Amino acid sequence: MILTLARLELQRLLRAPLAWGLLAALQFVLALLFLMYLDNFLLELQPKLALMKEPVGVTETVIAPTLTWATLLWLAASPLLTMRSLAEERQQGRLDLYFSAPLSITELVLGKYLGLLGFLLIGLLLLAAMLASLSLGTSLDWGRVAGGLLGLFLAVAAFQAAGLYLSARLPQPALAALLGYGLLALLFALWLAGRSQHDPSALFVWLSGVGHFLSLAQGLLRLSAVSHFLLFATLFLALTVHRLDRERNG
Amino acid sequence: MGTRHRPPGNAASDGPLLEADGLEYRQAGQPLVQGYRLRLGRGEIVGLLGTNGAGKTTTLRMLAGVLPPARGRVRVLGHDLREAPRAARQALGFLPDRPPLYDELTVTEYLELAAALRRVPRARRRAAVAGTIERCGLGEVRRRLAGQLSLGYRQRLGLAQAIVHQPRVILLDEPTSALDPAQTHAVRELIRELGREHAVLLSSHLLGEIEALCQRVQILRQGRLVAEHDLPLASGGWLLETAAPVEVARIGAVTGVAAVEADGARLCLRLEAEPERVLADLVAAGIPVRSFAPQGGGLERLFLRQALGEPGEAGAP
Repeated sequence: MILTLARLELQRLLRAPLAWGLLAALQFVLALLFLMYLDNFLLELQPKLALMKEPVGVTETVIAPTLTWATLLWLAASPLLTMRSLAEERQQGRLDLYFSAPLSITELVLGKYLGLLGFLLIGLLLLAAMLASLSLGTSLDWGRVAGGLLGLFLAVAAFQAAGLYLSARLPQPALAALLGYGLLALLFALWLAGRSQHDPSALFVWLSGVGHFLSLAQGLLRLSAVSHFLLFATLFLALTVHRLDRERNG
Repeated sequence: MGTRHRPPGNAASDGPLLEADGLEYRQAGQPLVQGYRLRLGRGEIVGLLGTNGAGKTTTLRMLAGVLPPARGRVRVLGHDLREAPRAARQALGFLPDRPPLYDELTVTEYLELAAALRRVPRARRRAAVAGTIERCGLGEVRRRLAGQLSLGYRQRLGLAQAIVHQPRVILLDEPTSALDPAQTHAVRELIRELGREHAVLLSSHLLGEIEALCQRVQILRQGRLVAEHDLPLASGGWLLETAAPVEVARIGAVTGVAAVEADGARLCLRLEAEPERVLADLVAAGIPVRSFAPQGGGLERLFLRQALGEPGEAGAP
């Protein structure tokens, strides 16, 4: 049942011009950034490599910053994807279809969420293919590339769980997207506040999760970062289930 | 006589498929529906009648397991909707007031989804969808996207998703709203056919629809069940047609006739005795009777009195 729902969600996203447009725009911007970093490497850094004590490779200078941007851009695109998941269902009266069917709210929420992750995976595959093209000209640190991609996936997946919750809470997709951007801004504000030179707060930095995704984007796979995002996603999925369950069963 | 008052909650002949007792729904502390009761048996089509805002949709949504009642219980085939939600919902088909369609899916894809959601086994799904498409007259649009369908086809597709798993109990919220007469006729025929094998509860504010389809009607007023009657209902008046013109006074003089009123070529009689007895007396008095039948419009009178609270007429149920 969960897979049926996931397939439906993915199918809907793939048939929506908005999702296609977002995917194309993301890929275009990331390709531009990738070429820019590559250009920088070829023209600026490569001639100097022989003079460096610890020469840097393309993984650090091209792939890591591209992955950081990719994470930021996917985070920014996520509210536009998650807003439809449940808020639009409610707006169009389609929650009745699910609530009257013999399926549990957990199945519904997980199905919707897996569909969103499926779309994210498609974006990730396109990005991975672009990054892997570098291996035609040089050797890559595949472990760090894979770590960075996993980091992107975890960070965006966690944020999409929060987006799904907002979509379950709010009656209109636009409102869900707006609050999604509010949450994103709040997380970055927490991070900035936590790193303030006057009054630094490790708690704020931890809560924001931004530091985690930055380290993951560098390909540094830390257990604390992975567990942070898993916890974040689980919390919001549980809240989504709770919210819809109350609506259906009182 | 066609009119017989029955207390709300009479059982169907072979045991109820759907039972509701004391259902109540509150919003912001205010009761929207209170004390709703129903027993719905196989082969029954029951109409839920009320003005806009009377609580029809809320009632149906509670019965369908979409809204949680603040009080009361719903049992489908004996399964409590709260205690055995999966078994209860498995036996239910629900068409909400707005068909819950996905514009980006084709008719076939959508019905396959609906069948999967209702847990039709994979091996039987294709046949179930094909059968439903045929039954609902969706064959010629099976490959069209739902978003490209006319209003009539959308309504039929909504109905199709409610019956694709062959539920024993079917709940329909305003199934023919916004349809043209031909579409309305087709959907009514389908509901009538469904009513032979299943138990159907349909809401409407169209008196004609309820009279055309239902064997029983429940009337809601401000969230309360105010009446439940078998159909068809007579108005209390009887129509007399004669083979030749007759003076009104001659008919008024017959025993058991309380009042006579000319209604075009026909005469409308209000009776104070059993109609069979009055008919015999009319014939005995030499009145050339061509037809003698209860006057229609009883549901309208009942509705005006029960749903709108207008004063009734003497003799009406």
